[in-house]
Amino acid sequence: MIAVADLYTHVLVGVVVAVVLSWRLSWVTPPMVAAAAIGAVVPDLNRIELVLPAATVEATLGVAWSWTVVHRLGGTVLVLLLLVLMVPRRYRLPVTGMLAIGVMSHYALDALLWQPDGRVPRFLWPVTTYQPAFEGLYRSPDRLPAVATTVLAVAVHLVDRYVVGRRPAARSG
Amino acid sequence: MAPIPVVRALAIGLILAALAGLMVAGGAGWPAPVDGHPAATDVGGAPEAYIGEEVRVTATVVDADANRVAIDHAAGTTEFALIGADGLEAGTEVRVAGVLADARTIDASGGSVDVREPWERLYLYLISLVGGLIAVVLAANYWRLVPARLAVVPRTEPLHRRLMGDRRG
Repeated sequence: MIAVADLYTHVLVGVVVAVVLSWRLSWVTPPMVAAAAIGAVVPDLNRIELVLPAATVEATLGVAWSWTVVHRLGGTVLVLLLLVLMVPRRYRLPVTGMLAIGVMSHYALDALLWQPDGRVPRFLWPVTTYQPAFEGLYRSPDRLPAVATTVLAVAVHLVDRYVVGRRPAARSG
Repeated sequence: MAPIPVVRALAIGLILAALAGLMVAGGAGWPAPVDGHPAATDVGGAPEAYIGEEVRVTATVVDADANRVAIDHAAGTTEFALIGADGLEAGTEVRVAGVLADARTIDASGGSVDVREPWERLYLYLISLVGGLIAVVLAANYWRLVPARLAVVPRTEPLHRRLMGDRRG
């Protein structure tokens, strides 16, 4: 978890992508935008490590444990499955799509991060341990991603409200 | 009251079990370690097991002149000598990628040492809190939990509209 893009950037990027999609796809309603935001958070659920370290779980339960699993393909898929199961049947397909968009935007941003060893973490675990070499574009505590994303989000919001929202075929709410 | 959805409950239980199982597997490094390097707590707690291996750890600088850093782990803290770093400041956090030369030495001369200032850590914490809140607020605004049915359904009316009242009277 030492190199992750900040959660604010993750969530906002997920929302921006969803809102832009909503301009084209009528089924991307506000609840779907919220689903994309949640998807963008899911991989970072591994941060539970900060309040309940894996070492503590291991000592308590007597088994090996890793929260990092949730920041990998295997764990993410299971969490998504769990969320989709709880949603009414008719929303399952769109929610799956939006959660997936949120999740993929999260991994895309994290893949661009600078890593101390110059390799992208093995996000595709357990399917593969592939770690492409990549020099990285920014570091976790850099402010530029958050600033740039905020500017982008404001711009998208303005377009959404004043350009798209005014079209005759616009949906309400 | 509608009956608790048994099938859904079973499916949820199954997924949670699978998730727990995967976390155990990941912790044990099956089918392969989740990271390409040992966890910092493992390196700090039992460095003898990783001598000669590539390590990536977050450590705190305890002695800037002697280039000594400390890694936290379950049983406490272990100090290491750090080769290949200079200009360190005591008390700062460093992210080191290097080789564990021996049980108390990390050689980062072929890797990297990235200094994280204390305020950067605070910034990350706060901005992540804001981000998490945005996601939670969005979810709560447009979705509603129905615990009795183990479900979450879209709201018929967004929470913000309900809370701010219907202006059309």
